[in-house]
Amino acid sequence: MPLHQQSNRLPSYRVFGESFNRRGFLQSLGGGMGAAAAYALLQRDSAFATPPRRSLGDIDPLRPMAARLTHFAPTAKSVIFLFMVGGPSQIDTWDYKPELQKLDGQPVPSSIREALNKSVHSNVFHGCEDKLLASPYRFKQFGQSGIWVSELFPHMSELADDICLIHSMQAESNNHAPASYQLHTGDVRAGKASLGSWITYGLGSENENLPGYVVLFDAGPLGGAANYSNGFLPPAFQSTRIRSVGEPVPNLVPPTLFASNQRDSIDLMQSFNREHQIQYPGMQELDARIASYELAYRMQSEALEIGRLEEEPKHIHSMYGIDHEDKRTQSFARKCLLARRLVEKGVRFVQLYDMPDKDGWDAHSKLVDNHTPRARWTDQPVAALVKDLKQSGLLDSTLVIWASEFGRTPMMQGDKGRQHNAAGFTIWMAGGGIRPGLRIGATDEIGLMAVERPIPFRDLHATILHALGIDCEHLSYLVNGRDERLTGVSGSAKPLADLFKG
Amino acid sequence: MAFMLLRSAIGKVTRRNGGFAIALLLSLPSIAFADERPETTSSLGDQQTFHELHNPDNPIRQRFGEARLQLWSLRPISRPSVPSVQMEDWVWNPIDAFLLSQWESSEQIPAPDSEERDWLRRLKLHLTGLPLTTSDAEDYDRGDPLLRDTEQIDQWLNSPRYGEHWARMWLDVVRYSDSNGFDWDEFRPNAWKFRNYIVQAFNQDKPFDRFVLEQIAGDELAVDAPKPSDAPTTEADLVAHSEPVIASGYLRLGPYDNAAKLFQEEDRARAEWMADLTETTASAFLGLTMGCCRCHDHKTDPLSHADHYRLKAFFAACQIDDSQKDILTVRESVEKIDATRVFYQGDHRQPREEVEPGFPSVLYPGTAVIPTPSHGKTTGRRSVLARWIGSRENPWAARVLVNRLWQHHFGTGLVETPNDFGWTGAAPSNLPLLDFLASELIENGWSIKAIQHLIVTSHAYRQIAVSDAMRNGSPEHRNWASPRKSLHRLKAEELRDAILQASGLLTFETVENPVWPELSQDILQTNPAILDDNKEKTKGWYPSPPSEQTVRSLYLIQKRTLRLPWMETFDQPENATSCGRRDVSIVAPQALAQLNSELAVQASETLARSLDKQTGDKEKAVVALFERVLGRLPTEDERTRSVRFLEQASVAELANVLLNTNEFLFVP
Repeated sequence: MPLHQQSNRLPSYRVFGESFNRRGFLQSLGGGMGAAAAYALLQRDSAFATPPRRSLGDIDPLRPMAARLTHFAPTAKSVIFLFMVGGPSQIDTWDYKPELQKLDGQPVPSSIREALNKSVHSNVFHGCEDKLLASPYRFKQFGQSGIWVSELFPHMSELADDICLIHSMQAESNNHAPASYQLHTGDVRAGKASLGSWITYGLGSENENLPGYVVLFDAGPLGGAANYSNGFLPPAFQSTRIRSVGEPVPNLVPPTLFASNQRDSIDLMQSFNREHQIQYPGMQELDARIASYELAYRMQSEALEIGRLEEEPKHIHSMYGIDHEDKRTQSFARKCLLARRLVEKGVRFVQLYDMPDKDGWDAHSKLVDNHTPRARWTDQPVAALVKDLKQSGLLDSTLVIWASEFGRTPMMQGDKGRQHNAAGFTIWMAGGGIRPGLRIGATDEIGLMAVERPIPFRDLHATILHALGIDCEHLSYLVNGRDERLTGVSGSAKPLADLFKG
Repeated sequence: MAFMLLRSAIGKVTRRNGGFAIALLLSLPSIAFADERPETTSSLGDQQTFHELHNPDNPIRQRFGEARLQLWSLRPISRPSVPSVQMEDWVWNPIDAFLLSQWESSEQIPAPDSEERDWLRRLKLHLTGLPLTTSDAEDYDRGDPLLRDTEQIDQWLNSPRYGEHWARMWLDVVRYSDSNGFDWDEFRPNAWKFRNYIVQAFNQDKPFDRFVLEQIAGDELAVDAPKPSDAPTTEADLVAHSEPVIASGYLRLGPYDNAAKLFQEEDRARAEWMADLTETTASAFLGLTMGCCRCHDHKTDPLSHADHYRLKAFFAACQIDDSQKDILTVRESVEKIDATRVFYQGDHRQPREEVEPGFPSVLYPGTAVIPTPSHGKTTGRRSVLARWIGSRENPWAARVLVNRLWQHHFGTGLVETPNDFGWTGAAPSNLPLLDFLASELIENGWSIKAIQHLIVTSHAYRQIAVSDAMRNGSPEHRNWASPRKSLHRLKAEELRDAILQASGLLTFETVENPVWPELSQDILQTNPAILDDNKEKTKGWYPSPPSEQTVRSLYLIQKRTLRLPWMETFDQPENATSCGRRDVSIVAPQALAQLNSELAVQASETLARSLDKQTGDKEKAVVALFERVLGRLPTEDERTRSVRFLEQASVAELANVLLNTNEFLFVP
């Protein structure tokens, strides 16, 4: 039967707010190319390509990653979250404590001990000696803001006037996985949705040809995939891992045997699909699946393109450390560069982990042996990322966060190591409308517990959402009778409003 | 009335499925219909339960006012009479009468029946999780037209494949996993026994009330059961003793943070275990959202903050016991049971008033009566809870279960929110039908298969899917009604099984220990703990031999911190919380996996090789591929185009094309 006759029998239905007989329309366009390919073109290039954006969280099942409206004007479009796995020590990096240096080998001052014991963080003492360990690293002041940074971060210290330090973060667990889950999902239990899933669920992404929520790592964070899971959110908002070496996305490239005919294979399959569809009018999941192959086809080329780091100029390679003598620096540098290329292409959320293998910054003993190399592997690439974003203007619309699940104790553990510390630790943010050169909150004189403006993760989450133009109280998903929110159901989360430029 | 309706259907033997109703009656004597039976023995128990609902002093009424008590799911399950309808001929069994009655009142007419092949394919997928094969279709065609429908249904309901398929439904609900979760995510070498217990329970049609009892209190039952010790014991004794204990693995299925003790956070880990068990039990068996009242009174439902802790108190004596290495279960500390206290804002560090075990106070304001077991080895608390859940006085359990069954046969439940029968959940689309099915379940000794039989022999089950888009798309379809709203993409496990079956690779063996796929180092690094294996060999990754890799997907390892890529891509739910209904996504990475993944390529090539042995003829290869993958012959046009495709492409590539079609992927 000629196609135009078939199309008369088909229903028209509402898609993208326009009522039209889509298949008829496509077939009239079809000509030599597959109708589904025409459909793809239609989506991308015609007047229908930019339907009005839907409101936040209003998902078009055919285009779950389509960009959606924000609640209010955002200061950031994309997020790069640099997750330092395992708990780097705040008192050896960003939180300079001259008093600790004086008290090396002494017990914890009793006032500080009592304050901690009265708090919910008293278990932080568990496993440590009652003996302070001064930082083995030298600190210096940098930039106009005059922030103190240790010698571990010679490159990042150059960012002194670009970043905003928060010295008073607190986590609810002193163990990796629960604290890490909480930083990613707002809850110490596994099973909740992660930041990137929430954000893409709310806003979609600016580039539907690439995953909207990307994770990058050599080895994942402690606690595994539950950290970057979509949890209870629809699976369309799950993360996609992109590799910085080799095939960027699994299954991207056809096996050699199938490669030369794959376009023909897809065309034949789509022709079968369209005939099949005639028997089942009005079933949008069939349209969605037909479209998914065209998206896959475009993703093949865009994802391969995104992975071509060798196209970047040599000075960029040097800046990030891709030509560094240490392989682990190279590897992390590739991920940082990839992160920039992804946000440049409109990817909404990039989560990057610095885990080289099975050990993170978890320096229970021999702090120096652990922290010095980790700093070497990450310092230059992270600094280069921020500088590169800044020089290209992307920093204005990209929020960069450097954080971990907790910090470490000023007390010694084992052989000059440090225990986990959920009671007070430092993170920083940059770009995306955040005021640079700012310092927020403070720990006590030895850097053990946040005493000035303690900040829970939910406030950090509210702040990140705020930068993206999302009111954290109005980004929710009904699960088992409860409107789940990233920032919890109690309604107590508040964005750190003073972080934003006036 | 129902009986008369059926008789009228029997009279119409000329209608295509006229014989179906006869066969239904012949094959299912156990299902009696309402009007043929004396009123069920409700009475005393019911009165005891439900009179509280009308008590002005009901604590929930006192606390929240009247409105919350109007919740539909609080009402006793009363057996509705089967309604009379105008289109009597359309009715094959009472399900149809309930649906049609509602449709007629809104001037809708039943949408037409599916093609026979679609019905058959749907039936096989729903009952066994496997696609229809050409030989299935041929067997069916050869059958007696009057009897073959019910014979086919019985054959698949009684196939061992049935339990393997339906176990998955329940394993989602109880968030089954083979590992602990959190940092170390240690393998649970004995969890598979629970998984196989579920498979067996479905295959044997274990009565659901017993199924509940064994999972919640199987260890308590086993104390009572004769011990298979000195005297010569039969296999049956052993099973009677160990099976309920295995079932009690339910109590341990949730995530557990084994590392917590290193940081003096055992209290937190235990509080989370208990809260999770309470919430999962409420979701799985009762459709109640107890998670909401962990921290405060429920925002909308007739549940108080204390109700969470009253339910939790039934589990209060449970301790983790790994002394029985081969079985995942608990031990009760009878001597010293910690008082259960309400936690202010859900925080275990802020305990408040003490509570005793109690059912939801809207129905049972008092404390549960718990007889002390004579053996003194357990508290008896959980047996009491389980027996109440599986009692006819419970307004939720039967409704929640039949709704899950309906959902898996039609794609959407009569209540669209299977784990939430409260005010924030969806209202039932047809409460009389839901209640009819729930009372049928109870009347039939809580037989799951009886309800499924009723569902798949209904006329409604034959109908095509009707979506809103379809109705709005054409005046001709505007008033069509069908309980099926859309086609359903095969689930992750079904799709993998289907691909393996089509390629001839799928193996059906009894699988005990889970099968570990080969994964690249790159993927194993997802949780660094895997690279840090321990002496006990519980943290690493232990790939199974290639010969075991083609088992049904149910048997693949399911860890908590490392998802199998195929399963994750195709929306297998995260396994830390109860999942009553899987979300389905249709996204580009799935297309890439189906085109290019190792599984897709291996299946395509294997399939092609198996055909090459038979024939080098392109025409024949095309026909054989359509039969193997789609279970049918190609049309003339399909054959021509496929042969043309083979001019330049290989048979494996054509196999790959067919394995990627919507026809292969969707349940009609």
